Amino acid sequence: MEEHIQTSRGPESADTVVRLTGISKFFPGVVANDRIDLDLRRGEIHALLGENGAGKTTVMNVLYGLYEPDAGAIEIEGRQVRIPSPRTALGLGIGMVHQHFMLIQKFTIAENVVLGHEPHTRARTLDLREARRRLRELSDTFGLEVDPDRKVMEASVGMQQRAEILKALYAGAKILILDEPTAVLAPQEVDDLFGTVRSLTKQGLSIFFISHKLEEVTEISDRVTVIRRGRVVGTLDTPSTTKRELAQLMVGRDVVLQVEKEEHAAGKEILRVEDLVVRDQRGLTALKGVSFAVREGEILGVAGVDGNGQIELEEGIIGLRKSASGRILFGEEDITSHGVRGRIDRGLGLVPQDRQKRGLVLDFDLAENILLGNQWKRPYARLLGLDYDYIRAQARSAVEEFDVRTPGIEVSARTLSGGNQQKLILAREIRRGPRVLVAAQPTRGLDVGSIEFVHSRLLELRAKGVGIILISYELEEILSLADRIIVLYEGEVVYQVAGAGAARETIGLAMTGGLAGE
Amino acid sequence: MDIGHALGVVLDILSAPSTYQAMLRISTPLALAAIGGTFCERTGVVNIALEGIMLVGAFAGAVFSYYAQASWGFSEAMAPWVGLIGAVTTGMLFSLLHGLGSIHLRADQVVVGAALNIFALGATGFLTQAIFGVAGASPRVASFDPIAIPGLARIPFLGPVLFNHTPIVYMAAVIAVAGQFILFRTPLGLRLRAAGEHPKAADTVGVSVYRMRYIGVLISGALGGLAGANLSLESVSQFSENMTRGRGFIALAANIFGKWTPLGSWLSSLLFGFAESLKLRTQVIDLPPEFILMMPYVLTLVVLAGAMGRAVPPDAIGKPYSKQ
Amino acid sequence: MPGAAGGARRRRIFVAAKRVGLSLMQPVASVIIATVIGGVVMAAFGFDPFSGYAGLFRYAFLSEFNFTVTVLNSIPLIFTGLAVAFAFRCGLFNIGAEGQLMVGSLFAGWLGTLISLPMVITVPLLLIVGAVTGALWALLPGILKATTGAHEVITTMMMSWIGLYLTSYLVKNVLMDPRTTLPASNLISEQARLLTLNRVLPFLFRSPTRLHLGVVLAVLAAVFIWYLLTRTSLGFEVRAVGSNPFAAEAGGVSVRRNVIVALLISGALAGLGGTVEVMGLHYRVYDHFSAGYGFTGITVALLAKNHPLGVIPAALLFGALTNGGAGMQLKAGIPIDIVDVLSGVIIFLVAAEELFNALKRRQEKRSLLSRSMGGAEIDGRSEA
Repeated sequence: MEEHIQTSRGPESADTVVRLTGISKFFPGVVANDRIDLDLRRGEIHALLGENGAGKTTVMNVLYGLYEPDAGAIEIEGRQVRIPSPRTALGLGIGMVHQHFMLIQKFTIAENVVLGHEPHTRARTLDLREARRRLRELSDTFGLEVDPDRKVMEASVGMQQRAEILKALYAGAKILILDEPTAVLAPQEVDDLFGTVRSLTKQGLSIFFISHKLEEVTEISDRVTVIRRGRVVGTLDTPSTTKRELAQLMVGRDVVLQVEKEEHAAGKEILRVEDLVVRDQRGLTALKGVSFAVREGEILGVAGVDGNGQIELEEGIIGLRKSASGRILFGEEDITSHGVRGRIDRGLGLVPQDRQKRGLVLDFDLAENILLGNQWKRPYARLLGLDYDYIRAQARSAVEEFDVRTPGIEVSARTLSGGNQQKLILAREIRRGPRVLVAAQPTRGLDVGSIEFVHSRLLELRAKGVGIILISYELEEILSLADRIIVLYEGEVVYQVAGAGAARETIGLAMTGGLAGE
Repeated sequence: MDIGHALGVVLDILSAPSTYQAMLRISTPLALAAIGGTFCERTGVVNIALEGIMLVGAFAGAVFSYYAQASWGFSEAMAPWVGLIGAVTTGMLFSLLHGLGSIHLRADQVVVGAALNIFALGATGFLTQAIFGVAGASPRVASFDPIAIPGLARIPFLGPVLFNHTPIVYMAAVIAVAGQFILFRTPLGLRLRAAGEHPKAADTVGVSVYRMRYIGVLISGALGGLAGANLSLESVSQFSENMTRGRGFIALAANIFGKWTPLGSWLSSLLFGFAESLKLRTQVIDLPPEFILMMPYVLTLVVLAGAMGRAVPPDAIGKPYSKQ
Repeated sequence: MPGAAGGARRRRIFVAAKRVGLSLMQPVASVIIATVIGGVVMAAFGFDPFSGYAGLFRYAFLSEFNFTVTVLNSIPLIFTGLAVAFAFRCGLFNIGAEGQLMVGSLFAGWLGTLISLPMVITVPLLLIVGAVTGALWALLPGILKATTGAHEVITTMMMSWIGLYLTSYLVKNVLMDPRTTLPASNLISEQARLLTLNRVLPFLFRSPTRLHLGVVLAVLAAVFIWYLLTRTSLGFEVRAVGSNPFAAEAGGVSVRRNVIVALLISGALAGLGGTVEVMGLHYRVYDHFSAGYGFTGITVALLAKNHPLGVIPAALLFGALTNGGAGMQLKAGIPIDIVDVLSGVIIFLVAAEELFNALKRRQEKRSLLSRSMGGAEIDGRSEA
């Protein structure tokens, strides 16, 4: 199915600031970009829409000089250019705000913003006063409020993002690439961001806006280019298209936007968390006394913006982090003092949010990854050693049952794609037969097919009476799966509601602290 | 030895200017190597080859001084300076190997460092025999004499302690201060540190991580070489096999204890220098020599046990950086 | 599916054999390159590399005597190689095997001079003492690493120097017979000595030889460690910690416990290495008897890619180098330090293997993706 709608190419005008022609980029085994044509007009907000892994970030990385294209040409203001490094890109007036902030935690915001273009006195020392002055100037012009002397690790996510934008502006960017900028923001903060973006274009900037979220794209952009599997499938004027049309282009078929969830009554309470206090890496209190309960056969959705204690919750429940105070009760038993192994033994499972760091030993083969978390149990382990025949058989059946695409189980886990790695982890955790499963960001970075798979498996578990704690930054996911929803804000549960009656606006408000103190 | 006697010994040691003079003197190679380690690690490259660099520097210093005097027509006063330049240059060249392995080939930095240490041990031993025809040590070479700073050297107590040292000892103090300034108050220092904290962030604003890391490695090579020169051209006047005796590792601990700052490294080295200076006091201290010789190593363990956790290394340390 | 298991097993063996073959290429290449570099260095200083290497080969292997010495040299290297390799598999760099070796051999040897119970009791007892003391010497670094994160490179190195001075002191002041000038202990009792192979395996060794039971012990140790590492849950946990401690933790593995256990086992192996030397060869504890076995063990381990069975041939190579090196010095005047030069180059090249490894992994991924069932990414033109 080859749709290549180009309704708004327009005449080659002096108002085209960026033109990418035939950009292709290959990585071993993957065609990330396949002859992509793209242009950006002056003062426009041009969205790049596509699912995870479609190639939108890759082509922008090419524009920003992080990658060199294997084919194709780049024109800036009508002139053909080569962009071998971000330094060149910055010199051409191109700036990029990445999805994962490129900020140095230990430095102040001012130091981060001026890095690479540091103002210096005649004695060649770092002139921080001048830096602060210039920063304030930019802040005021564009309405981006920051505290120059605050260390990044102490700044809020919103301020960090503003600092990232200021970094690009400080370097003189006239073309700005925003990579999934709303991923870390709550709904209300997204509105603020959109306001900022619009005022930036009024000041003469032209913006590429990468996103996988339909609503945002339709709200903010002037034009949208849909990218699927590395190719452009259409460039449209945003006002003249619909969400449904865009979704179809994005995925290539009619998308089931809502998951089938059957009604069923939950059982008795199986996990209870009481006043849990957990500290983060730096020793600061990230969870400040959280209480909730999960019942058998229910999905408890934990909503919230990244950075409000989700990691500490995930690790605190499974035992990877010791709680400073509070209790966790599993069934009748107090498991607060138990380590990870004890909790796994009692029926707790975890699909971790960082699958490559916590979920798999990438250098091990699939069989040994299946063994992880089972290595002390019969019949995996016998008197004199491990039973590798059994382990391998288990791995084979797990791979088959969960449709993990791989030529065999002797390959290292590193060779699997993100979606298949996640399926492997799911296979391992679900086959252990947990009574409570903590699933943290289970579909992050996955394509639609894998997302559907994961969701249906979770619902299956739910039907079997397993209690599931679903921690996700994607509100849509929570709304479609959860029976009950709690919202985490700054380490506290600020709102609880049954899934059926949940109102997006209220939850969004809770996620930004609008309900704190109630 | 009763408590009174022991107290007397301690007071005797603490009040003698020679104690502090020795402390400053003995801490110098440690400080230089430690500051070199600071710069290197701040850019994100672990450098356990400090031991090897020092050894190579000590050897080169002796060789260059020897030839300067014997064949190249330098006077006995000037020859050690030639040795110093040779030591620093050789140290830098040697550290390039570390850079190659760690930065370009992205190998395990600790293993590369260990390889270089073993290589240095063998190479210096081999070359000593090959060049001088004698195994184990070089002949005596021209070395540095203490330079008394006029006027200041005559201040009671502080004079002999601070102002009557061989040149490299002075250099160490100056380098400590200069290093602190460069690392924390100049754009270059900001970029060096950025490469060690978040190389990707640095890369995306156009800072060359490779270049910063090579600079860090070369600084450690230069300072390590200088430290070696101090050993063979100031402490004694020759090169002997394995004369570094673990100092490179103690320097690593000094850097950690000093929280990865040049001044901190220098100050911690003073502490270790003090411990080692006790070996000159065996007639006063009633312990077998082996136990006194053990002191610096024991102290290192104690320091490490306490310092870890409170001293935070650069975020990206030890992780090779690749653009994709 | 009938036959699937059998077919799978055959494929597994093939894959394993290919993997072994590929992974052998790299160390072999490193040794060859190092040899060439060594030859260049020798030539640069006026030595003749060809007669040098010829002399090395002759002194290492030719003649029963030489071969015996080579094998004898390898015995402690197998143990220290195992020690370093095991620690490496847990992600730990035990650079202080030298100290653990000395301390282990000192206490075992000391005990050997004191007791003379029947051999069946004495020998195992001394071996245990040597292993336990070696392990204890690695305990502090293990605890420091597990609790404070102190880098084991520095701590084991410090313990090594402390061990050096401690054993020196003890030998010179406690063990030594004050009437002699030799800085060594008395001879250990008859019952404490490891039997030579002609006594143990008379049908294989007709004439008296200095080869002792230590050879058998070393090989057994290698097999045991291999089994421990690859076939037991302890070994699995150690390897998991070495590869990804975060995922290991999430899988119920105690990182702290494994770090300590790994260093203990490592120290025990090193201690055994020294003990076996004393009990099988020297029959007394010398001051400074170790010819750098602990450090050569690092090279051996890395050359063997940290594989316990690979340690045996790697140790033999270095046993030959050390023996042959002595011969080189004798005959061609080439300083024996050239062996360290070669060691350093070999380790460096082996460390650079990460580059080859990374390339190999990308190759693996590329070929797998093109063959795998779901991998339509190569051709973006697939059906949706």
